[in-house]
Amino acid sequence: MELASKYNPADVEGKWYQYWLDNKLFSSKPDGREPYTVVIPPPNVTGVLHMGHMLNNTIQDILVRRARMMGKNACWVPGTDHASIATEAKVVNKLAQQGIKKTDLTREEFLKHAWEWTDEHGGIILKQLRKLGASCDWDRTAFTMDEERSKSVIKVFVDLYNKGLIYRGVRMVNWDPKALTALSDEEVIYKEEHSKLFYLRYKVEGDAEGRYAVVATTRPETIMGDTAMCINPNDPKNEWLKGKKVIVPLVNRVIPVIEDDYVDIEFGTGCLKVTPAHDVNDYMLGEKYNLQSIDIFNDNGTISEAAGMYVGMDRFDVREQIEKDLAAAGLLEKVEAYNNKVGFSERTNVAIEPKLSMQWFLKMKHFADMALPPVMNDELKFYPAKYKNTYKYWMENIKDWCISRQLWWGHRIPAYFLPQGGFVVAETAEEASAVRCPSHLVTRLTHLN
Amino acid sequence: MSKSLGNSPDPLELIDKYGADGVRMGMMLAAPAGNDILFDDALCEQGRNFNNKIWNAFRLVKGWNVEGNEQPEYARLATEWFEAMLAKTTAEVNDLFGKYRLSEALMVVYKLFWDEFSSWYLEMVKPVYGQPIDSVTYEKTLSFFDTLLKLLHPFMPFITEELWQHIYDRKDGESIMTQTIAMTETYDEAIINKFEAVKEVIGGIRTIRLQKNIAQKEALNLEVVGESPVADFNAVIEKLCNLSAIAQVDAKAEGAASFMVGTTEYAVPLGNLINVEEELKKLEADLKYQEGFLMSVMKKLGNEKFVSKAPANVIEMERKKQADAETKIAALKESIAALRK
Repeated sequence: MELASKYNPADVEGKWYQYWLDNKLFSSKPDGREPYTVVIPPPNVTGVLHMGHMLNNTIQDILVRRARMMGKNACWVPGTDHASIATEAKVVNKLAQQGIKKTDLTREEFLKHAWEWTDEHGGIILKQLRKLGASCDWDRTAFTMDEERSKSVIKVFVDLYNKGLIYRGVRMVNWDPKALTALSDEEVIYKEEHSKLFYLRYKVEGDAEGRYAVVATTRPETIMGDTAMCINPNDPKNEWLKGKKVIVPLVNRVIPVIEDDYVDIEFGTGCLKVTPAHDVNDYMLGEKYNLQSIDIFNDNGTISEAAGMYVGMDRFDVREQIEKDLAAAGLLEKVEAYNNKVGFSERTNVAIEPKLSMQWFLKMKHFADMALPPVMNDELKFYPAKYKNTYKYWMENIKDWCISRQLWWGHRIPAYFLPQGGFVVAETAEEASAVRCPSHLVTRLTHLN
Repeated sequence: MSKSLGNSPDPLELIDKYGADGVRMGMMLAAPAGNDILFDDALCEQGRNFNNKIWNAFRLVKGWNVEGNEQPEYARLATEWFEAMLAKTTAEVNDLFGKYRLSEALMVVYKLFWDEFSSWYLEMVKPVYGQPIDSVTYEKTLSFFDTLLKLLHPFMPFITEELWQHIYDRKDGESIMTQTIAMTETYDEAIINKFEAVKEVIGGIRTIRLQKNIAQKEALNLEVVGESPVADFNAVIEKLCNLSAIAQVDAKAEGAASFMVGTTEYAVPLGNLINVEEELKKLEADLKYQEGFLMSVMKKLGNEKFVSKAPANVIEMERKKQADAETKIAALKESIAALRK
């Protein structure tokens, strides 16, 4: 065979990749050799190869090929991630182009579309990995939502639930009003925004002189959810407000003035409106002082019935409208330009709404406590070692992980409502009924999302 | 480069343009572990150029006519040296892999192939144009190539497989990817160190050819003042520098161009190899420049204001310039006088 005078990769690369496949050279079966295994960090099933994949898969391939040539039994397991929100967002968009709304479909109908999409676009990225030479054992290709993986997800969920490490509760979550789902903290991107700081007048109830407290806020549209005003007990300038009650502007609800040194004396006037349903810190104050929580938003970011005003309007339209209404009522002291950080959904790019929501959480401290020592005592090493500190910081500042989403594309939470109220967690409906409920009620069990 | 900014190149387009091996190498050149990456298409181009280098080296070797089995001394020395170099680098690469320093491991193999193998080893064993190579050297060269391809395979799987299949007849189903990279625990460190000195001697002679404008086809003599510590490599030096002889002398010939390697002086007698008129003109022009330069430095140093106000390190610098210029002037005058004789 004559060698071409000039090297042309296109003549060579496809040919040898096929040769490696034909001769099953990537295939790995356990034998006497020392194993060397890598599970691919699975790319999103509907994703396409970008430079980030290119780099990390090149690194994996170099390590795997090298290990193989050092006499080890190298096994690189490929696969894709069902990527719940990313995939669902793509399917929703595609359906929208055909004039179909997700809300018009049943779960089963929607999933049919999602699987079609996955089958059509899924695996493109795996084909692309072959182009870069990835020596994966393709016979082992896995999908995070295939039967085997799904089974183990459910099994682990039930196990962790039974051990008390997964719990269900109402917590403040990052709500995506477009995708209509809760997000984890990692799915929120913070951006600097030029916004406004509104100074609102809260009249003191029954004050003969008609005095009022001034509250600075970037979100006047949330006043319908105010259930207290908070001052710092060490703030001399607000001393006179102690023990008083104030009136929420426009809403005319009377709310107590509470005292907590959480309030920053230097910010604005030192008076803080407390909206437990729509701010993480206010939520904590609400828990501490047993305040009422009024959820003034619908899931899509419009104003809910509970607000009593502006019902059905979008949150950002209300911000504009309420500014005018407050000014007209003489309840707006002033407005200042203000820069602040606002969280946006990584996938839909809409502003996140902190929202009280019933979700499922994984207790992370338990895992962090197990995961930290092996790294600190070098049983497990990072390359380069400087990331040990980053890891330590993460493990020591970890918060419970919101693991539930209000999406159809993904693993369903293995919990079943009971007809008489409450729920049961079990791997299957049969088990749920067998363990906890009278058999004649099984048919009325409803799966939780 | 950022996914969210959308300014990232499309990897498949890069693969079409530079080949997968070229892009893989480009990524690794850009990516010391754990740091942010400054990526540039030029890195993929460098990767592709390296592919071409390997390809051309292979074609060169495979294009040689093989005849006879008597190995010349220079080739024996070259293979002995490269064998040690290869073992040393293999151990180094192994160490770097152990520390997950993949970019550095690639750089080490890259340099081994480009500098040591292509620029030095192949130049040493290469037969004179039209002449055959002996089978001992040829077989050794193929086996070096085989090992180099194996070291390179994890980084550039495709071109290495293609060439590995071409080196020898392979059985169907055989592949470089399932071969074992052999580890040699011991290697001759002394020969590697010695060869570094040999490179310097060769570099010294090449510099003289360049400076004096002497063509490679003009054979030269080399004088070693005293004993040469690299005398056993004379065959290699003779071949690469086109020398008719290497002589040990007590004093170098008058008018010879000389250089130092370590504490040993080497000299090349120039005799009538150079055009005296032209050389004199060059030297005198250089002398004039150096004298002018010295004068400007002396002016500065004679200026009391400058000397009293300038920081000590600046004055130190000027004094060094003065000393350098004086040394150069003395050497130039000596050379001119020798030529005029």
